[in-house]
Amino acid sequence: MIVEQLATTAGAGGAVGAIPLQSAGSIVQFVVNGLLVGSIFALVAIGFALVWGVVGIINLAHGEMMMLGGYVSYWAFLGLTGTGTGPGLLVLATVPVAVAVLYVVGYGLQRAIVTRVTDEDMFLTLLVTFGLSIFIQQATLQAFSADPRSIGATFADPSFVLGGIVVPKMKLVAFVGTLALAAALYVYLQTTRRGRAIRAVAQNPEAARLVGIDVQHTRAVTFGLSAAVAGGAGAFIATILNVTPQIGLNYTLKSFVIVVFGGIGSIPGALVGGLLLGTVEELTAGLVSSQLTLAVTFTLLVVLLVVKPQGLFGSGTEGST
Amino acid sequence: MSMVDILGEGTVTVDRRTFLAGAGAAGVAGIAGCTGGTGDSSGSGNSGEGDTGTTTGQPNSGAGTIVLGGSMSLSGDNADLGKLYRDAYRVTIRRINEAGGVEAGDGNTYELEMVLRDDETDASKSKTIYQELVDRKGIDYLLGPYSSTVTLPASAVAAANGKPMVEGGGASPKIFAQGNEWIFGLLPTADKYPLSGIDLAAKRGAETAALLAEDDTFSQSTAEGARSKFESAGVELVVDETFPTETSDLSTNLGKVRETEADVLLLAAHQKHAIVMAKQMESQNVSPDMAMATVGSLNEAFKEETGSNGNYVYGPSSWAINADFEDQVFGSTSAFVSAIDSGFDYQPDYHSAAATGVIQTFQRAFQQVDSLAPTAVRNAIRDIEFTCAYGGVKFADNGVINKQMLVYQWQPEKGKQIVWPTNVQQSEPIYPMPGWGER
Repeated sequence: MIVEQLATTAGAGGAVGAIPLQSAGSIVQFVVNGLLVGSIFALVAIGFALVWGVVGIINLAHGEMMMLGGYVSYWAFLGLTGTGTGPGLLVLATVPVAVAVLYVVGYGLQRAIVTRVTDEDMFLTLLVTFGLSIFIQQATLQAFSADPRSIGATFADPSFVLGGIVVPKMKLVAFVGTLALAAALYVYLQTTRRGRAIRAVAQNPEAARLVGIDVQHTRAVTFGLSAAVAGGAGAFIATILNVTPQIGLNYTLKSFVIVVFGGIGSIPGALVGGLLLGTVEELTAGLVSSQLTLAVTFTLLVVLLVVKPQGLFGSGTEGST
Repeated sequence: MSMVDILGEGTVTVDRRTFLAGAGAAGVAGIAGCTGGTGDSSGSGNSGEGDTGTTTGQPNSGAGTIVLGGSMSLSGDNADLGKLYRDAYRVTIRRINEAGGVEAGDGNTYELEMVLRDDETDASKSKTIYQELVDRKGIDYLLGPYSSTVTLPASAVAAANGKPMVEGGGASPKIFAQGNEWIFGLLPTADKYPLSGIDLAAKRGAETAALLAEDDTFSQSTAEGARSKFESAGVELVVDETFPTETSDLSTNLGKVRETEADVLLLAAHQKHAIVMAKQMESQNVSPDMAMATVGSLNEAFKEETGSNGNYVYGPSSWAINADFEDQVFGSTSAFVSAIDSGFDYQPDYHSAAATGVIQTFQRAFQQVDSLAPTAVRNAIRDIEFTCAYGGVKFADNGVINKQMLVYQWQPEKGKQIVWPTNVQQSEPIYPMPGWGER
């Protein structure tokens, strides 16, 4: 399949002479790039969906949980290697650290602050979580400066090349890692007593309270789990990209889009939505222009909301985790 | 918003601190205000009675004091860089005052005083600060803020009020394309950043190039300069991509560079993207003869975060820390470097050097005028020509310094080396960069 690239959108300067044709191989490459980065979007969005579905809060500080996870992983890796550069698989050792630390952070935030506005007007919860995001961002800026931080994961050969398709090894590790974390969360929610309690609170907090479930604790655990998976995603982002104090908002916005795309409160929906978003973004960047990725993404979102308002996997009701 | 009054001795008075108004208020609320400064201006005992409408005798300043005022990114996204300017301003003013002050052309000697307020890296706050400095503080001489985005509206305040502004932190050509006769910039404009690097590549036989540009004002100006230069140098642009600032992954764009086998990869963006470029070039198997990032590839943080992947990467700079320029205030460039190092415990970069150039531009202008009226000072700045730690300072008709960029390259054995132009090079450029399998 041959797709002709649009000359007029190839660059701002219009100075490009011959416009290359995109081969099938190029398109497969764009899709692979999209799936690899989309898995990370998905993991961040799963945490966002969990809190939205169970606690009923749109957590605008969710991206900052991801950002903090990236810093925890970075400093842990620095502690292990002393230089910030080391074997690629050593990065995996820092993921549980980021997950654990961010679980505690998330649990604490819910208990100390968010719980006070959980049952209040949604506008107030938005204000509180937005304030938290700004506070965390500025505190991180003061503590770590605005310098981008990055883990230098080394491999003897950094990429697989399969039929001309380049697959960076670290991105593949991150892809598998994010899917494993998502699967672990899904299994936890489906099979454990606490997971069932979380789903019960999502469906009807009052009824859950009547049958003896500690709703406040369950919500805090949910917030902790949400922050933990975001922290895990942050660890991978610190490795394949970099982290800065300002990075969170972008991921919060992406999570919002993904969750609406996949269906509010749906983990499978968030997973598919994340992979889809990554693929659409990379295909747009590859075939048209990087400048149009946001425009295409939000156009698709609007179309989906018109055609299927409950999202791809949403049932139209909360608590479909 | 906090206010910092920095007096002749470098005394800092923080009048009110910025604080969070509360999470329920959805963010950070700045509480503005100020109290009187605590420092004196008595070092030299010069009388310098006020005349001709200068700021002499304004609040916080006694007779014989000239007040310079401005806003700076002392908090917010660019706080790290903003502090470089503040520190260099402080140490330069302190040295001038310790040496007896400024012997102005009107026959009097003045001490310098500075009022520098925190704009929180916010263009609208900065604009408000400048208006207030002019209206309520009566300040006639303005120090520019940091970043093109903040400087552009601030320069409009200077023009509207007829006050000269000298800045070392805004490099977008748009700042100097407004017909503004009151703004003077010490950084080469953004469109000049890639020129020397493209010269180097063209001289070495580059035939094709790929340009990846962030979509912010500064980077787009850089990209425009690069496109013109590639064309005039006979280098074909085979990839020309603009990406949003929010883009975190350059894989797909780097894949295009790989497929076209461009000889030169030019990234017109900022540091976070320079780091991503250096890291992903290896994983995407991109091996051009030359890879250059126009901003953010020359500081230690870039090298620390990219490790060996940062080797062979090029970057432009308007200043060299090991240059040997004479400086009337410090003695030489190396003495300026020592003053910053001993006073603040870090090595200055071109931001710091430009900042001392800002203060010394005003100093030289005051020395040359018969009257300290703003128009006379502005006219003196237009004709000024001197050398300081930053290098030669002379402004073109549009108010921008005419300065050629140096090109550095990270070399595995020698570290960061000036490789272009040849008359100042420390080492030959390693061109072409070795492929990833050869490193």
